[in-house]
Amino acid sequence: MSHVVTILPDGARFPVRPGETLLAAARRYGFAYRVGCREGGCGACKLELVSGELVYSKTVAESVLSDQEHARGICLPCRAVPVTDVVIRLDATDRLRRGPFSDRLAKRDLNKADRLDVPAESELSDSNNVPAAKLS
Amino acid sequence: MAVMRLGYLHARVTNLAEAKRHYVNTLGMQVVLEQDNRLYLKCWDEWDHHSLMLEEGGVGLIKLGYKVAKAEDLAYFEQKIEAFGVRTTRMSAGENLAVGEGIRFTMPSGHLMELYHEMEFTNTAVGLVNPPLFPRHLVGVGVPRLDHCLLKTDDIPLAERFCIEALDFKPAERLVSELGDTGELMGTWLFCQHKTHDIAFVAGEQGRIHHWAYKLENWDAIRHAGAILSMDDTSVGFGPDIHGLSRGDTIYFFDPAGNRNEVFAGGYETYQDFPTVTWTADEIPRAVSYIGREIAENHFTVDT
Repeated sequence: MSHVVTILPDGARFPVRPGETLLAAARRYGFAYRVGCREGGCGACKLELVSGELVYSKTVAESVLSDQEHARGICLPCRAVPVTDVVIRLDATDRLRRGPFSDRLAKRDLNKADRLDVPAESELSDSNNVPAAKLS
Repeated sequence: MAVMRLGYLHARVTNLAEAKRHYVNTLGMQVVLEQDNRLYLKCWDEWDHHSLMLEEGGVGLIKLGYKVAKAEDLAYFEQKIEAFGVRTTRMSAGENLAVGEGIRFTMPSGHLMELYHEMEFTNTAVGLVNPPLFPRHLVGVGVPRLDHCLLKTDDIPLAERFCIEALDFKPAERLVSELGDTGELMGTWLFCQHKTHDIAFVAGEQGRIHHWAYKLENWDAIRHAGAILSMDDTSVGFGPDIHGLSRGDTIYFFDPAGNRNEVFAGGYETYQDFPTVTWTADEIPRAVSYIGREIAENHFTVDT
């Protein structure tokens, strides 16, 4: 079964191919955000991993993604390969950009993979709308 | 008398096999030696032993080696660098593979630099007698020579002053916030002999590198390089375009560890009496990207 990536806050969803990185899958559908070298060297594409599991099949330099960051749930999408459904959240200062057919192509592939299932409400909660209790 | 040229650059890569694929198959450098976790490479039109050393583990610049013309130049620069207030240490022959004795110091910009006079001569790929124009079976881009590097520093005026006063570089072009006394120096591109530039600095974090560049023959070679980069799915940062600053034809791209490379063509020759060109910040789009006049948002923020 295809693993599905959800990008918060706007809830863009698309499937990843086996072994494909988060960033490669997003780019394949024309989804873009603020990234850098796309080769694990600069850390510009780092994002918050909200839920799900990722593996790093290529070596990641400690200077780019530290163990502490990793433990805090920061991921490096140009190197991270989803092994479950994954929810990530863009930085509040950034926004997701779309290609002319991004959502249409993603929806077609989600349908083909029989993954048009509605994501859980908790997955799509906006970053600007975190319950007060979670902030304390 | 100035230093002569950028002779070697040592950098870190996260995976040596992937780096080899990029620098050999895509760029067309030749493997000189593979030793433990190190890879020594050279370009086809370079006559010294190597110009690039890649070491597995991490990412980013280790050090730069600039060659001087005469053995006695080492003592000359040692004195000038010390007089500037930067400590130097002597480097003995063989500390770097195939490199003779020299001096080592950390520039005020935080980058480790070595000056040396000798490196083992191993000849170009076309030889020195009735040479063909280029090797018959070049691989990929077929880069002929390492050319220059652009470094980051949080004190551009100091980095520039060091290069001018201690190493006898001259600024070919400078980027300022505005003309006049209140203008802030935001970048400087310096030459030591006749190149468009041999070393450059832009504002950023101490000790980091923006890119190192290979000099190609002309715009057609840049076009060919772009085709190879796409075929090999190399991550391209910016270009092809023309730099207003330097009149260079360019493409920027990243190696598999995220170090940025450039292929550069065109430019112009410089001389001891070359008058410094100034760019003002409002013209940065043309300075960097003369045709598109749009700079990739990560072009100046991403480095290693």
